[in-house]
Amino acid sequence: MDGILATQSGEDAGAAKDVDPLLDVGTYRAALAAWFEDEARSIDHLRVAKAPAEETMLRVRELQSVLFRYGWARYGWGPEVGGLGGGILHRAVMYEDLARRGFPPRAALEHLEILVPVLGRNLHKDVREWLVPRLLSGEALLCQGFSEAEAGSDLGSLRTRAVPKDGGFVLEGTKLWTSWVVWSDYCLVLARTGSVEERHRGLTAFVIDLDWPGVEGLAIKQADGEDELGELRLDEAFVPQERVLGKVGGGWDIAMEILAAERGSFAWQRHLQLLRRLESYVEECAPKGRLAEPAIDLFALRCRSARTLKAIENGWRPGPEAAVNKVLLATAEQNLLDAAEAGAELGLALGLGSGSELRADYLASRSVTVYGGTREIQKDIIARQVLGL
Amino acid sequence: MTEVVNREYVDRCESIDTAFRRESSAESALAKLDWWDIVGGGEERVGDPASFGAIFEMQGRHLISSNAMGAVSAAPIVAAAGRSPVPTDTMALAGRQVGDSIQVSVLRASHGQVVAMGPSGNPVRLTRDQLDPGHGTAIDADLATVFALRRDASVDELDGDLDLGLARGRVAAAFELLGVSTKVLEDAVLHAKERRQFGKPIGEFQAVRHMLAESYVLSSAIRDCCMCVIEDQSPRWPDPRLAMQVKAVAGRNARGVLQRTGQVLGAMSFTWEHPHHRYRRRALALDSAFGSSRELGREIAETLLPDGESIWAVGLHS
Repeated sequence: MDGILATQSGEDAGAAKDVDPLLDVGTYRAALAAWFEDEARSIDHLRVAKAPAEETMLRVRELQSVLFRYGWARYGWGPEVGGLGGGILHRAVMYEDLARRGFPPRAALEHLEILVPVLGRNLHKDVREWLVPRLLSGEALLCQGFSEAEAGSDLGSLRTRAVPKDGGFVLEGTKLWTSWVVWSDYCLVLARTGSVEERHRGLTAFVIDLDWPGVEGLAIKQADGEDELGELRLDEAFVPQERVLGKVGGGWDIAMEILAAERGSFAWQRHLQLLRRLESYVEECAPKGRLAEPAIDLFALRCRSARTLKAIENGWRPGPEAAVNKVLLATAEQNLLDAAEAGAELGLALGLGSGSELRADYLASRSVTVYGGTREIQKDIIARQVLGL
Repeated sequence: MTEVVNREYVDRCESIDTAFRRESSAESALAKLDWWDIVGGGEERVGDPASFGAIFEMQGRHLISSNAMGAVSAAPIVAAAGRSPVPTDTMALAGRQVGDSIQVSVLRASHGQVVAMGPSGNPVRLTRDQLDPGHGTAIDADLATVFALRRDASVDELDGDLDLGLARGRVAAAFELLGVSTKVLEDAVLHAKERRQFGKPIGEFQAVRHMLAESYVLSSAIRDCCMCVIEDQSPRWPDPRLAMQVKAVAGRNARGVLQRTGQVLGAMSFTWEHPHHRYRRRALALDSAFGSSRELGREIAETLLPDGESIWAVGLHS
């Protein structure tokens, strides 16, 4: 089965004209499943649930590089970013297969789903062609620097400045709650190129290297013991012009597109992990009756997410409606962990034995109504932009 | 309103809505629509699931009572027992043991024979004269009546399985709950835009806006689940596991929507000044039909969760 890429590269010029059968989602699904069966032993060591962040990061990157090498992680993306074609359903199928086979959450790589479509459309061709394939192959990681101490829900008031200088911009400011910043190689930064009064109209998005002079990422210790979150300090960091994402002053549109993707398509990846947990809780902790509500929540979330992905496949771009996915996801995750916590009792409260992992998951689940736009912001979006109130 | 529009489904809703508006009775509208063919009678595969769903969403939306829900549920059971289902058959929405008799609730508009869960757990077939009208109590003027099964009745046990009939009834009830939820939310949003207190529309208050946004999330979830059933490709439509979960979501979420929208409407929501109370009673009756959200939740936890495959049953491929 290692001939997928070989057949793609097409040594036989005649064969290259044929339509790739794997562009059909059903065929791709079956071929991927067969490949997993064949390769089970060689990738089994990557199927570890909880590990220190450094180890997790190595494993998810190794798995991604294997999936990329065999071509699986290249389906779902267009040739402009080094992909082999197909759409979001290819990606969704791969995520589901990975989750069902017990591979852990993809950590920083989950962001590919959110960021790569935007990079594909807006990044300068010269940069895109070498940078995005590095992300898709797991060779490099990209994080996203939006929030600041004074700009959480009110993103339009951010203060990080970008001042034009010598064929580029100089960045100055501090980003906060930047997921995976200490593990990443690049960051998509939102900064102010206009005046404070212009609010969201004066913003521009950049893709910067995290090892450039004047750029420093620091970890923030979290309640659940992880250090996913971090702080990004920008001290007169120079960014060349070709790293502007889209247009100068067009940062808000980029940010909205990313946030809608985070609220819409991201729910599919996340719900897979929640379904896996639901399965394990049936055996481990909560009495089954307690899992009735979360099971119903997750069923509804799955129906919602599947339909959203199909709509995206048909050309729809997530907008205000994606707030519904986000609220459903956050509610389902918290209800699930509430049920598990109620069933686990003392072990969880004290973090004993198997309770320690559950406790970490429980604590982490408290953040889901905050990140990516708080639940209250989502409700405001629905009230104003969907219901017209 | 929702982005994931199933165009075919929306078209069906429009034509069914028109039929219900034009005809003088639900029965004549359904007859015009050839509804018995649409719902497939006792066939294992329903020819047009989109129309099947649309009929019931529109019934819920307009608070229409017909025998359709009872008939689609009874038909597969009657057919499985080797008899010919007819459109006037109906399935009891719910039954419970009271002393040594059984109380069953039956759709108001049904005239024919009633299929109910018998004392032995097998379906039984009853005729209307076996049901004691003396004990008939209207639980909801819009929907159903409760009858007591006469103690001296000799019941006709059917040798059919309940699964498919229950699944059809659950899906029908879920779609009615979708219609109810959608309508009460539209009414409440309109009210929030018009009703002024403290010098401005109440829809400008965040507490009110958030209740309506929550209602939208809840009703959207019902819609997404219902659309997944329409797209279900099971040879025996619908997959009973799917139907169980959709009905559980619909019953629970519709209650949530009614709670919030009723609060937004204020005092008139629990009086006859506004039709809201009718939707609320309809939703309560619908939630209890063919297993309430609470009962189904327990059943899901006990039967579906231990079977790992069931959790993943609906998805991208369906």
